[in-house]
Amino acid sequence: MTEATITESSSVADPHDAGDVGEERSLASDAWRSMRKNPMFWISATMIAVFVLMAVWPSLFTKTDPTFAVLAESRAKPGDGTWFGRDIQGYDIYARCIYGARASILVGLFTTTGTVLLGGTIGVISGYLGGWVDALLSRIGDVFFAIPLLLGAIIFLVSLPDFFNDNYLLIVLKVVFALVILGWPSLARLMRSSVIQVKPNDYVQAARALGASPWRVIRSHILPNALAPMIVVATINLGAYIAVEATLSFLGIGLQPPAISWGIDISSAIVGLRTTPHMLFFPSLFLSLAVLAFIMLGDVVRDALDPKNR
Amino acid sequence: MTVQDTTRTDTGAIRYEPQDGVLLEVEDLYVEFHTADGVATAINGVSFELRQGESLAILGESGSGKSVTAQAIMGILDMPPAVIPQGHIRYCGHDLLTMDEEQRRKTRGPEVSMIFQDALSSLNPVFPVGWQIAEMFRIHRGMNKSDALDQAIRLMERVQIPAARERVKAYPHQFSGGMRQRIMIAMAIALDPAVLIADEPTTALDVTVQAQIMSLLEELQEERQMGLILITHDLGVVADVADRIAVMYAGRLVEKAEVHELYRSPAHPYTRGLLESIPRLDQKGQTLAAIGGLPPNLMRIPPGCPFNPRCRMAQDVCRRDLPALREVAPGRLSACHFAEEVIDA
Amino acid sequence: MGTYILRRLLQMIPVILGATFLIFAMVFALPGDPLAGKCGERPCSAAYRAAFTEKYNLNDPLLVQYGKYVGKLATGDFGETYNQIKVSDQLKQRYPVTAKLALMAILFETLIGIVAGVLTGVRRGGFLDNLVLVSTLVVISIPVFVIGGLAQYFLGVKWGLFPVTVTSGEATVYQLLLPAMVLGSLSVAYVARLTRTNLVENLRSDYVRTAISKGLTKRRAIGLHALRNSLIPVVTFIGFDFGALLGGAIVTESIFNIPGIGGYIFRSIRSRDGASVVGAVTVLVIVYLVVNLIVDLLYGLLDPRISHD
Repeated sequence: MTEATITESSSVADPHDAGDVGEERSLASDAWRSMRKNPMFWISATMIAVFVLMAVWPSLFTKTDPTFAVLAESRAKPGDGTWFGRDIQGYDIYARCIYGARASILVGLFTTTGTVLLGGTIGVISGYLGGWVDALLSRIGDVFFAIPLLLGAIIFLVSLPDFFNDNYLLIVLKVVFALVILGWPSLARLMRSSVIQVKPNDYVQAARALGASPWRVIRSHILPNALAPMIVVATINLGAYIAVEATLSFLGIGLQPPAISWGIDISSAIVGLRTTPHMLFFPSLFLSLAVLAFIMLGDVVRDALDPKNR
Repeated sequence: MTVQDTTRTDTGAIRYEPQDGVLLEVEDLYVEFHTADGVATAINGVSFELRQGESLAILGESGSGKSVTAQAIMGILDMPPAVIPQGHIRYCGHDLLTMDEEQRRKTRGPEVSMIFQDALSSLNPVFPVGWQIAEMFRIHRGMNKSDALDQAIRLMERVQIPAARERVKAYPHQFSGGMRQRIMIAMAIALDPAVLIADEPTTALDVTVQAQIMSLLEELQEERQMGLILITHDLGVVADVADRIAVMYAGRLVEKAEVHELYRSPAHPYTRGLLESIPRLDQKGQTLAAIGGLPPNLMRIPPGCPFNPRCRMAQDVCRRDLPALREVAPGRLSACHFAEEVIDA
Repeated sequence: MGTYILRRLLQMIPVILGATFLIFAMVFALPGDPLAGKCGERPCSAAYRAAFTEKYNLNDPLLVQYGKYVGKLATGDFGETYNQIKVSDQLKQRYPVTAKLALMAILFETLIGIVAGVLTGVRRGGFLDNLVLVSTLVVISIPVFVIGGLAQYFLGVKWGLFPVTVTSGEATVYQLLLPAMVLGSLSVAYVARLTRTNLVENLRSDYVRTAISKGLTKRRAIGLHALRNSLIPVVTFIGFDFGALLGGAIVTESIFNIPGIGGYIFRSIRSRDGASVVGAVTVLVIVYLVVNLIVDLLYGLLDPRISHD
């Protein structure tokens, strides 16, 4: 309902008699309550669960080896013995789509975790301490913020020593490292402004006056109240980072063959768009669905956390 | 002054003339809010009338339906979730609820006008105040920019905003709370409306400023012979300004009386409770009596008299039968089974 | 206002220095022989190697190299590419193309995004609203390089509605039409959703209620009072999005073969042509920061509550 229409109606809808006083709910459980009722939440959560499962345990979805080439059946159409057909090398596209999830999910999760930890910490320090620390950290953030993410990541990845390229996990971490280094300032800015908003509140000042240590004040009073905007943005960013990973692979800069990634497969398929559209379609579909799932989840979480939307 | 000289006939085809001095007539009005949790009846069969030059105060706690009443008259309820299943709101004999939307729009401003509680959020933050006042003249009178702005300055002077000419280009956030409310008032009276609704006009203000705003409203009302509806929860505010008081509780009118009579001898236990909860200088040392309990949830109004769970006089009949609003003394209405006893007490 | 701009410009200097140093360090300090492939298949002669090292101060510590570079930059000397072409000439030739592309993309995202946002925000829950909500989600989810490839194939090759690639050095507006739409597609979706969200929120605000009770038409109350407030965050978004647009230009320009700065940077990175990369990126960072400053100033104009004094 539109609560903000009139002040009166909000008190109308509120359970007001004495028996209902116990229904006073916390923001988190309130958000969960409204999220549970949202079909979009369940759709996106299911999609994410499936992709994560794919990343952890691909053999659950396919018995085919994604690096097993049947050159004779190169460019086979879907249905010719395979679900999604074969690509130019004769690889089974379905298997490659399944195995490609790992790179995307790993990059997405690690990068998001990294930016949240780094950006969140710097943001809290900036916002809580203020003064010259804040000024210094903010300027440093500005420096990284001034370099467009994709451009910076390309330069960074090209410059990093090649010995990284030996090991799958190391290449993934290289991409993650580049994205975290360039991606943290936006979350730091967000966190800083939430902390600055929360800090003057009476309960925070009271805790400080009672002699609580800064760490305790931050942990039990500031964080719970400043975390919400960051969770929302981080979830949406997770989808965006998956897209960036694919873009880097597409440009031939992130993961390199023989590693399996949706971006690589799309890159090699795009030239044959005219004759073999299925080679492009399936990896693009998987990639888009993964991005979509996280963006949708972010939307749902934001709507649930925003009291104005209820 | 040109502001007052402008006639009210150029607003559309309809010419509004009060009928036997009655400007506004609300009859058996119901407003419901249809929400996901159920239907809340915010207004439950309310009737009253407003005469030319009269001040009517509608008094009640939050959730009593007083603001919803004002918004229903103004036609600014959000529908949905609000629904008006029955009732009439007649302005000079024309039912606003059945009028076509374009006609009704043209009554807002020149005929019926409203000021709100929170002037800061009710004024558009990105337009200068003078521009916002001038907009009334440009939209309803088709005036050009500079003439309209001249009128705005005149109005700002009328509501006693110092240095009006210099401040006409300032933005709402650059004014103090009291000055902002004066700007709201200037905007509301710009087209010399016949009815002015003031919804808690002083609640957000300091006490000293409250008094200034109320006396300004009173002055303007007398000067222009407007019908004034004053929505408030504060009995203290209305005493000087209002002629009559209508008390609302849980969406119903529970008492209606001429102001001094109501103060002298309330005819409903709820009104009496409200009066007893006002601190008075002449009764120093006495304990203030607050009304116990909370107003009912409008989705679950108790059977019988809605006030019975909080009423000290409640009997079995109060828990069983809904008391009708009836004349208990000449010119006095009360919806209490024991109104006579309350008056005499 | 004047002091504010001055202060912001002064604040920009360390940011520009920091960002360019970062790029400089990444491009020059890390392993990889800058001479690799410079002399064809054979290794370069010792004399050439020495001259080269001298010319690019490759023996100095990194900070000194950077200092010398900035010194030259301040006089407008962007250095030369390893093929002895002046970087500044390259930039002069390519920046206008990318600027044209980016401006067209911004125009596209602003116009279409705001119109879509308003139409859906006003009629919430209607058919158009759901259509736009779903299609923006789809556009956001599909990466730009897929959209670009598909658009080029279907709209360009198959149906022939737009030119497929840019053929000359002087890219015309017509040739850039499709690339600009591809480049702006992601932002269009974000602008539409942002406009819608803000408009919906503002439609419930007290001052819109006031506007209605002033007897304004719905059209004016929404189109002027609510929209004016709703566009403030949208303008900010478009400004900040400018950086992403410049990054996205790398992909778009490579798909449509546009001789702009994105493709130039990309090729220079791959060939480790340090001077070109640092020069091009420096200009890009400065442009980005200036755009952000302009957005901040615009923000002050749009929202009188923000004071720049």
